[in-house]
Amino acid sequence: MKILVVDDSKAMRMIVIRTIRQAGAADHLIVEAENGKQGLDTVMAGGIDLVLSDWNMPEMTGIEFLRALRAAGKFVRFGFVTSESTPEMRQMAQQAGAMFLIAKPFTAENFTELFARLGA
Amino acid sequence: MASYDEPLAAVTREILQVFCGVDGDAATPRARSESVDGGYRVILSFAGALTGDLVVECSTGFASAATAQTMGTSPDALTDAEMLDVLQEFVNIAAGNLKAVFPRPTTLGLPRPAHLAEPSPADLVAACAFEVNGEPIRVSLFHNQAAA
Repeated sequence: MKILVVDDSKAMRMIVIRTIRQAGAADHLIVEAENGKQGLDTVMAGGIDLVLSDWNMPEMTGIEFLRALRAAGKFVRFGFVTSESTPEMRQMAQQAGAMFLIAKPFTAENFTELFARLGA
Repeated sequence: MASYDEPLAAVTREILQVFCGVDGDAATPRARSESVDGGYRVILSFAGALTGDLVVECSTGFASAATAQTMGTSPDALTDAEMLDVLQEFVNIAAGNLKAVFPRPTTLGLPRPAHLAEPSPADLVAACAFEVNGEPIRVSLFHNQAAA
């Protein structure tokens, strides 16, 4: 599986990637993007199976990224990894087509459960 | 106004533990009035039903140790930008979690270094401070009453 990790923080991208590895998903290929715009370009180029995206980013936010993907007919599996997880945001994410929302700070167990649910 | 001291301290402890890898007992409470000199300050502004700023300030030693831990690198090889990146993520996570107890609607901005925007001490509504291996960190919540 090829996973795209999108976050404007380099440190957070490193932590997400390390946590994915700790969750036992060591065999997956992981690529990175710094914001929704870069993420969109990466998905449009093809080959991405799962997107893990921050919400609050410069250039293009995570929800704008997701909506742009769906508008372009790209139905890649998509979830948020974000510090905000109010019921309103969860509802907005779901309505836009997100499969899940993992709240920061997260643990490896959150990702283990996720990959089990995704069958990855 | 609601009291934010307890949720602020709880989320700070959780971030220290989960994000920075600090054992629960290793973070000892510190007087919040004690200043944190000569280190790093990052800020995240929010606006709406509650308008203000969340500020994280810490010593260089804390920033260095936290960054090395979170990025899995040696403290000797760190740059200023990497330490600011980690601290900005710290304030981002804290604000994102606190938003759940803020009045709605409140919108969060993006984190940034705090040297340009100094909130007034008179606007302080909550704060917590800890020491980890002798290195201080303080997280403060300001309510900008002039904007309310």
